[in-house]
Amino acid sequence: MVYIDWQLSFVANFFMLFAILQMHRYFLNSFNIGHLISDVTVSLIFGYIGLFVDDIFILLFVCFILLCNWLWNKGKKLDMQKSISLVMAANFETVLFSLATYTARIIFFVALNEWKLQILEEFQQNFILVSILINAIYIILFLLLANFYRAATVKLWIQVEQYHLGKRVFTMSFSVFVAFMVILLISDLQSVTATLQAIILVVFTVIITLTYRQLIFFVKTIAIQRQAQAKVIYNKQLNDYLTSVRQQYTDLRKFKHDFQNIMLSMKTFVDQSDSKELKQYYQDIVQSQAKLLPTDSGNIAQAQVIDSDMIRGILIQKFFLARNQGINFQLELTKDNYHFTNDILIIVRILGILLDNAFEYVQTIDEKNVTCAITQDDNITEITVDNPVKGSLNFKDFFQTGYTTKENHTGFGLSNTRRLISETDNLYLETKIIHGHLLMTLIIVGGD
Amino acid sequence: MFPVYLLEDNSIQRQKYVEFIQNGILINDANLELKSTSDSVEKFYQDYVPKEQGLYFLDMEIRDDKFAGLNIAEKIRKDDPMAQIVFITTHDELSLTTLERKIAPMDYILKNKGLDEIKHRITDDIEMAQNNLQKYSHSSKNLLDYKIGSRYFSIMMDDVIMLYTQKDVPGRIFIVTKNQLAEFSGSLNTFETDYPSLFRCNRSYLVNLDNATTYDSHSRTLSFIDNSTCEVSFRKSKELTRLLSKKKN
Repeated sequence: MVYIDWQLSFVANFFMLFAILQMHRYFLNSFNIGHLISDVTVSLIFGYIGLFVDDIFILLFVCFILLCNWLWNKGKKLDMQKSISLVMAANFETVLFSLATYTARIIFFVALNEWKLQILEEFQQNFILVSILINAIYIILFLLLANFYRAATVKLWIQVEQYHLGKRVFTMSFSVFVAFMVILLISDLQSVTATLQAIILVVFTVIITLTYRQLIFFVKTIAIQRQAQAKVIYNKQLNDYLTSVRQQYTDLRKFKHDFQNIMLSMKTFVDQSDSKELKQYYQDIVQSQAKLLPTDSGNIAQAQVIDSDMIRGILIQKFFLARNQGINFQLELTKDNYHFTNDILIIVRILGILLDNAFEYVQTIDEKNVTCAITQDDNITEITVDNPVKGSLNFKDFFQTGYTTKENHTGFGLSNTRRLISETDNLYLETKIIHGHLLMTLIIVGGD
Repeated sequence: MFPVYLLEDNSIQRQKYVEFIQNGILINDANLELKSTSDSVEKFYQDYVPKEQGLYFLDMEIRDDKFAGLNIAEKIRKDDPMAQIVFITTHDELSLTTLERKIAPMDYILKNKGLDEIKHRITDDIEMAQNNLQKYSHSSKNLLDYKIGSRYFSIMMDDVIMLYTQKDVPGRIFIVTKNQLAEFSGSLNTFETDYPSLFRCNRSYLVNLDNATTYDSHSRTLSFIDNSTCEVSFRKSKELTRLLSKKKN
C-alpha cells in the first residue's frame, strides 16, 4: 500500500466527489450557483470523512444524497431521473478515477524506470496532482463522448420514462455501483497487490460497459414490446368501433330502403285521394327526403371485411383524406370477406395512385364523388376506382409519361402505375368511360 | 319477338311497372312482349329461358335478399353477353360501380325519382333495347372475346378501335375501344386468325378499319375516330389502300 499525506488524500477525495456531482449536473443540465455552493460543501464534508473510512466513503456519499433527494420529495418517491443520473455519474467517475490513478502510476514507473511503489510515496505530491489532472482529462473526453450520444440518450430516457422502467434501471446501476464499492473495500482490507487490483478494475470496467449496453438493449426491447402491445389494443378498439359503426350503418340503410319503398307505394293512394293537403304533404316529404335521410358516412366501416391490413389501411387513410378535402368517398363491398395474398405492396401503391388521381380530378369539378368497389370471385379480384368525368380522354396516350387530364399536373402517377403493373404477370389494368364516369379497374389474377 | 322480363316483389309497384312496360311497347311499336312478371326469384327462374336474347327489368332487393337482383343479372349476363338489363331500385341498394363491373347494365332507374320519371325511363329503355337487339341479332361475329384468369370479357366489335402490343411488355395485348383501354395476355396472331375483319397494319397493330377515319399514304399514317394514329408497314400499305377504297364503294 501507498501511504499518502492526509492533505493530499483530502484533495483527491474532494476532487472525486466534486467531479461526480458536476457530472451528475451535466447529465441533468442543471448548473447554477446554488448547486455549485452546495456541491462544494458536501464534497468537502465527505472528502474529510473519506480520510477515515477508506473508499467506502463514496458509497456513503451517494447514499446520503439519495436520502436527501428522498426527504426533499417528502418521502413520496425517489426522483428516478436524478437518482439514476447520480449513480451513473458515481459509477463512471469511480472507474475513471481508478484508471487515472493507474495511468499516473505507469507514467511515474516508466519515467523513473523503477517499478516500486515506494517512489509513489516519495513523489506523492506530484503523483496526486498528475492523477487528478489525468482524471480531469478522462472526464472531459468522457463528457465529449457523452455529448456525442446526447440525442440518443435523451431518446432512451424518454422510453425509460414512458414504459416506467426507471426503477429497474436504477436497481441495475445501483447494484453495479455497490458491487464496485465492495471490490474496492475488500481489496483495500485484504491488501491486495496493486497489479491484481488493477486487473480487477479493468475487468470491472469492461463489465460495466457491457452492462450498460445490455441495459440499453433491454430498454429498447421493452419499448418495442410495449409498442406492439399498444398497437394490438388500439387495433382492437378500432375494430370494435368499426363494428358498431357498421351496425348503425346497416340499420340506417335498411330503414332508408323501407322508407323509400313505402313512399313509392303510397303514391298510388295519394293520387286516388281528393285531399289537397295530403297531396301537398306527400310532395313535401318526397322533396325533403334527401335532408331527412342523411348520406351515409359510416360506409368506411365496411372496410373491416378486407383481411389485408395494408389494403384496409390505405382505404381508411384515403377515406379520411377525402373527408378533409370535402370529397364523398364511398366503398362498395358486397362480400363478407376479401382475401389478399400476393403482390400486396404493389396493389397498395397502385390503389394509392388511382385514388389520389381520382381525388385530384374531382376537385376540379362540381360532383365530388369517388367510389372504390372491390369484387372477388373465382380466383379473380377487381378493384375499381370510379369518379365522374367531363369531356373525353385519349386512351392510347393515357399512360404515357406526363399525360394528364388536369392542368398544372405532371401526370407521372399513371405512367408509374403502368410500370408497376408491368413488373408482375398477374395484374391487369382496365380504363373505361361509361355513363359519364371514369372507371379504372385493377384486375388481380390468382392468390385466392 | 324479344321477351321482356319483370322482377319486383312489391305488388303495387309491380302493377304500375306492368302498365308502363305495355304502354312503352305500344308507343315504340317495339318487337317486344312482356313474357314474364315475377315477385320472387323462384318464379323468375321458372319463366327464364337461358341464352334467349331479351330485355330484363330487375329490382335489386327481393324479400330481404339484398343481392337477389344482382345474382340473377350475373346469371343472365353469363348466358348472354348481349342481354339488355335494367335495374329499377332505390338508391341505397345500388352499388353502381360494382354493378357496372359485373353486369354493365343498360340503365338504372331510381325509385325515389317518382313514378312519372320511372314511366318515362321505362319507355326510353324499351326503345333503346329494341334498337340494340335488332342490331345485334343478325350477325354472330359481333363480339370480341378475351380472357383474364378465369373470367371472360366481351366487347362489341363496333366499339373496337385497335389491338396492339408493346415491346417492353411482352405477351400483353392492349385493346383500345371507343370508351375503354384494357389489357390481357395473348398473341396478336391468334386474334388476326380468329377475327378476319380486323386488319394487321404492322407487326404490333391489329386495327378495326370500320373505326378508321383517314389514311395518309405518304407518311403511311392511319387515323381513327378517337384521334389516335398508327403507322402502317410498307408491305401492308397497298393492301390497306385497296381495302379502304373498297369500303367507300
